[in-house]
Amino acid sequence: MATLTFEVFSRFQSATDANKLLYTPIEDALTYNHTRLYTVECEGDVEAAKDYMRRVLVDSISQKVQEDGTPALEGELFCISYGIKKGALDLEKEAILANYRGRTGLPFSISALTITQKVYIFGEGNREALSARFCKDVCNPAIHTWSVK
Amino acid sequence: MPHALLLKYPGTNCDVETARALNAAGFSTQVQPIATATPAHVAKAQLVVFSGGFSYGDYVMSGRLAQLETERFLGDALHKHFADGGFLFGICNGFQILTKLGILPKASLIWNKSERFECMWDKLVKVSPTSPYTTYLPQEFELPSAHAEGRLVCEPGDAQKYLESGCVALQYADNHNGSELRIAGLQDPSGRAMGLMPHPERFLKPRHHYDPDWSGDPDWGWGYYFFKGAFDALK
Repeated sequence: MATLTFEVFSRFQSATDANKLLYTPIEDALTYNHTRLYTVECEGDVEAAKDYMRRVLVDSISQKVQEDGTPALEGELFCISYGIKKGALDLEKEAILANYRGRTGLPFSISALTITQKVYIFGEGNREALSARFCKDVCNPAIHTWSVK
Repeated sequence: MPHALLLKYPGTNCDVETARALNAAGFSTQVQPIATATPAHVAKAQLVVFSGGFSYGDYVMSGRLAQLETERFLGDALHKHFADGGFLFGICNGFQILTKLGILPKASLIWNKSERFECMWDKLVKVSPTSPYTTYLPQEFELPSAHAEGRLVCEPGDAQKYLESGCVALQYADNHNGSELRIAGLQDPSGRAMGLMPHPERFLKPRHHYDPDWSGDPDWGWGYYFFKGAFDALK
């Protein structure tokens, strides 16, 4: 069993005003950028699995991908990682897996796919208070689980 | 009578208006969900159309899953259709799908510069003199736009090459989404495959214009002429 990670981010989008994420603005001059982290559990021909996932997930013109498990962006005040709760319907995951399941003769099998959205917040301020504020507005406790680093 | 095949995906939401526009121009039109589409459907059509919407919820990125599912269900049927002289037309989400299928010049449509969904009328400038889709259009005209991922980007230098080689069909007069070289529509060198972000099917009749006194054409809105141009080139 191999675990593959693909953190996909835009070549064109730079950090922008973090108040866009909040229902009410804050005084701190913070910016944010975001990425999507896809974690795949697979067996069989790992290189073929990587090729397939890159073809599904990455647009070579507009995106870059980090595959070594280290964060794609750095220098953040904190990073919120959130995804769909276990048991809740993740339509993006199901759409990707439906395409995978519909393909015959692939030399690998995928046993699990997890999609995590990562929001990197840049700037200075009270990390604890600010992260709680952003989590409250970015994440929905009804459908999401999240962590802050 | 030229036959048009309109491929429909989960999340496509402009198929009814687009089929209406195709029929108005004279096409016989079949709207076919991708899950039941076969190469035989493509073989019957002179024009294959990808209409607007949010196929597969724009998951991963707009048009990606539609591209993968099209390849899964139709294999190389669209490339064969195109190589055999067939026409392809992509509107908005359909443009995003066409760019990913590798039929149009290599480009990608990403989030608007504003990072927001934008719904407005766009003033457009006709660039390519060879496109059958724009034959009957004036040099400048308006169409409605509604998209979040409409900012066209290319590999460095490609946009200029497309402009010089006649692959740019349309440009925005006011580049609200931040596209490279204001590109609003791309075509292949032959002009038979074209994609654009604005919605011609939403300006079929003069009454669809925001100005009730619009007098550009007594019978039809500018959008009609995209479909009419393709029909006349194929009949």
